[in-house]
Amino acid sequence: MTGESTAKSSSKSIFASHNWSLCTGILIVLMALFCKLPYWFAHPLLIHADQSVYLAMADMFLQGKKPYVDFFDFNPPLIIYLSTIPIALSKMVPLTPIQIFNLTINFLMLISTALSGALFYANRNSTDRFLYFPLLLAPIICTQTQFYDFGQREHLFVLLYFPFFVCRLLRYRSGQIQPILSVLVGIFAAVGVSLKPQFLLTAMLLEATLMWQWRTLKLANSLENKICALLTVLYLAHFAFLGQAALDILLQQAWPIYTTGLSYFHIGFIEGLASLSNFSYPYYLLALALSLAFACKGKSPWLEPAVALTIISWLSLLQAGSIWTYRGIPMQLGCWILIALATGIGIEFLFTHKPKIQVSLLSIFLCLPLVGAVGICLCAFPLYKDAGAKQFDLAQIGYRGKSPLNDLSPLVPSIIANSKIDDKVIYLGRGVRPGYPSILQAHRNSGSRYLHGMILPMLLVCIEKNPTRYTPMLDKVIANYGDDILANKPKLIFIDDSFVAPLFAQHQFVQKYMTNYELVERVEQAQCTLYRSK
Amino acid sequence: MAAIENDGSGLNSPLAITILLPTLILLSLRLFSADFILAPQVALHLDGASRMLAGQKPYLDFWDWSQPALLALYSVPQLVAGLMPDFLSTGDWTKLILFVLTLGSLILSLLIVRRLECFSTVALALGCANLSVCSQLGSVQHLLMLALTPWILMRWATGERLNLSISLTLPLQLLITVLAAYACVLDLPHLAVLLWCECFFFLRYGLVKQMVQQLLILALALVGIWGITLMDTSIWQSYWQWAIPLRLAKYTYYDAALKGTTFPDHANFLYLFALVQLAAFYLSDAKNRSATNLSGVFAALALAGLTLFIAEGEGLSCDLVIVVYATVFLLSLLVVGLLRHYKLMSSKPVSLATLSIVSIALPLCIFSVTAKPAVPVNLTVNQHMDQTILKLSSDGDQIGIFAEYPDVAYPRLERLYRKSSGYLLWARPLRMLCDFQQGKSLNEDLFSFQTYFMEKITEDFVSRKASLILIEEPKQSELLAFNGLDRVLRKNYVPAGQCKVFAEPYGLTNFSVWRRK
Repeated sequence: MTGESTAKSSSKSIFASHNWSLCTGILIVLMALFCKLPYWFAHPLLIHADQSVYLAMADMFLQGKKPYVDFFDFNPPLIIYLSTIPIALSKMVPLTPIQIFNLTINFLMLISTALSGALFYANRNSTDRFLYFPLLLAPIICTQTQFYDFGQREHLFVLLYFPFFVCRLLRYRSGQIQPILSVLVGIFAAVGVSLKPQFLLTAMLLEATLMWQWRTLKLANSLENKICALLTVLYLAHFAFLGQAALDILLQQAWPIYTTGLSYFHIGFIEGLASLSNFSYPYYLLALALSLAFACKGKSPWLEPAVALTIISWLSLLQAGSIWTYRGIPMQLGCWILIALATGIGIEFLFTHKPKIQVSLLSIFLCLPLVGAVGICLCAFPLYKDAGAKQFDLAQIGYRGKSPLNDLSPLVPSIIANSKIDDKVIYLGRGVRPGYPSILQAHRNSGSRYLHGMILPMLLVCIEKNPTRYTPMLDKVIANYGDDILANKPKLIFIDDSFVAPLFAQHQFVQKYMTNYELVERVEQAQCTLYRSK
Repeated sequence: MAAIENDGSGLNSPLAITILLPTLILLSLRLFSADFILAPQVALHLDGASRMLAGQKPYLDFWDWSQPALLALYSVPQLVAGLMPDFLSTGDWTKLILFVLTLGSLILSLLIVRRLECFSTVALALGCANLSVCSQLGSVQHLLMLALTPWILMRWATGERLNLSISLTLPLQLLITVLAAYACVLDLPHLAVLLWCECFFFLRYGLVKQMVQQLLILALALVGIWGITLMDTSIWQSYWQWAIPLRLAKYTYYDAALKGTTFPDHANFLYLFALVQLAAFYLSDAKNRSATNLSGVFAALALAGLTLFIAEGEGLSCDLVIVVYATVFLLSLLVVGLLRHYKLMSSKPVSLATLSIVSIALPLCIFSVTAKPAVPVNLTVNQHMDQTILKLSSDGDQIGIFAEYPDVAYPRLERLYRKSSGYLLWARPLRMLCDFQQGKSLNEDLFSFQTYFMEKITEDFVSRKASLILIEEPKQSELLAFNGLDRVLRKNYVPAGQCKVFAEPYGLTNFSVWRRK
């Protein structure tokens, strides 16, 4: 906080002497942390496409299969390694891997909050102390407001990076940071920024803005930065040990196709706004948060880095240009940090300039958890009510308990009706959905190295740009699908009617590779046809 | 960024108005060039105003989203053109009046900052901001900015009164307040934009007695103007029963038919917007309170504009005017601030020279960037539609156009010496109401509105007032069929071919042409 006035020092004693205000703050944070936990217990099969496909890849990885060679993806492999944690835990605990995954993310939120809380606690006598509780709530609110994107890589980045953000700010504010905390936040940040190249870029740009703001280079040499840099370099170095075959696929297929063909998933800004209600939500949040930041300008040096984080993440979102709303999660965190800072500045103002209203203010704070609890229950009521609607018996997939039927992806009933647990299933489509999460929810395994078919439409875009290079690649991918069917003998094959069926028909795919399969049904809801091995 | 307190030029006298000259010359060049056409929304408002002058009542005799206050404003050029029919056309009078309004807004704004060292910087920023939105001159958001800028500057000056020792005369304050109130009545969401800025001022300055007084006067003026423009009981009823519910429903409406072929590409502008916001936050010097507050309020204004653009959800250029205006204003402040920071405005002569160069270079850049978008293929297509209309109708004929967006009909019809015909000035409500009906969210008010306007469209077809009817394919055509209006159409009109047209934000669309039997 700027300005060390006498009013502030008097308020400091008032504020510090009230241990119960600290307890209230902790109570609010705990409420926010655990309010949605019953929801995750009531939804043991609720997961969305990307998260589920990485769980399936992690399972394959734990079975000894090699990334990119035995199963294909476009992204760096760290997310697969991380997803092995819930998969490994699910082998020990009688819960679905999906439920374990959701609980793991909640646990990560808890750890992230605890780390940030420990950093704040060490600096509890600082002039910035009014900001601390609101700031602790920022990543929690950001997490609790996620639905489709809960557990996405951006979400993990937000949770892993936030303690580092706090640590760096405290470092520049000459705060007290214990070495053990520095090491821990450094490790967390390294994992976060290594998930995607743009996260690393965001972190580096943010560090540059901090140096510029405080006009010093000395603090770049701090322990947490060293740990983060070292681990990031180690992660980059590990690519050398992936093996030549994996590197060939990664560098000569995956990344060229990704950079050239990603435009298939690009949409106009307006189309995004028009298509999805949750596309506009981050922008409303952005407008509110930045306006508050401008209104509070000069009242806290924490504002500049938070604005930088928000706008750098916004630029990253604009650059992505796709309808994938998870790309906006880091921006949402920036917005929540700004809102938290504005709240903290407001609280400080009331404590320092309006001492007469302190008692009533503190009473309001005491009521907040109660009001919050009622609010959350009211908001969450439809979700819990949903859980009381039609239920799916988990015994059908080898577990105990029930799950709301609405949480199931459209292919699950067909998969369960036509195959057994651990059977192999392939979905030939142009995206991750609905193959995943259906196959994971039904407790089946992928019968192909291609767990999703994103590569197919992307290759078509690539072929438009460079047919000589990419046409053989498409032929190879289709042949790989065929080889996987012949080698793995999946019980079920779903073929997308509108895109894949005509494309594969050109290669006489059914005649070449599926002579041993019979047509079972057309799944209307997913617009695909199901084949079963005879 | 200390440019606000002192740009170092010493140009704080009326002579500093010369800084505006390049901007005004470029604005005049753009505005009065032969190929400049008024924005579609402006031409549409003019049509609504002419119908109102002819005795028709908004919402009852013709439908548009516009508030009666806006149509009243646009009846001024109609009246002036009616008084001097041989001098200039209505369109030219409109351009002239809008140019005068722009000048008026600039003068009012500059009167507020006339005694400040930042006079020339603010003048340059205002000039550039107006130049950047000149293609949307007269659109409802542009009118808001014309009236809101003096208001914002007045509020800022009042809040900063201790630092800047500004004294504003009461008549000047009253004039600015009434104009701001009128601008808020022009469109419902404008009030939200004003409140957004007021929240910013409250957070920066707290409760300042004089500011509260100004707000009270504004509130009184707002209620007064609103009441006067909706005095007619039937207009009042239809406004509350139909216009407001439909407008509110629009904000929760996700239009799956939008393809996002926005023109120009707004996504690219958003990069600039983001960078300007970042620079405005980082480069404004917290110690220079007045500079921080001025750039802050325009940043907040731009963000309010973004919220509005997203809420409207149509991607039209006219919905982005607030964002562009406020962003360019901020950009201009930043440029001068940076020049000063890097000692390019250290002494008076150097400062004068630098400011002169900037006052020419910056408007020129904006002029070239905002040049009319060159889309030759689409222009050719548009000529095809013009030829179809010219071939199948005569001067003064009424033409009915069922299009999702007003760009198809306006200002084309005026340019071709035709008049618009029918109840709907543009047909988006037709699809919206059908979507609501199919989604089972059509409430009683909207249902009564749907019934009413179906009757009016039937009446339009049966009366055969329009010599030609153009219907957007396939959407509008399907909607007419869905409501059983295709039979009435076939009874009174015969198919006369097809034509294509370019319309924002859809891009190319097909139209079926129907000729009176």
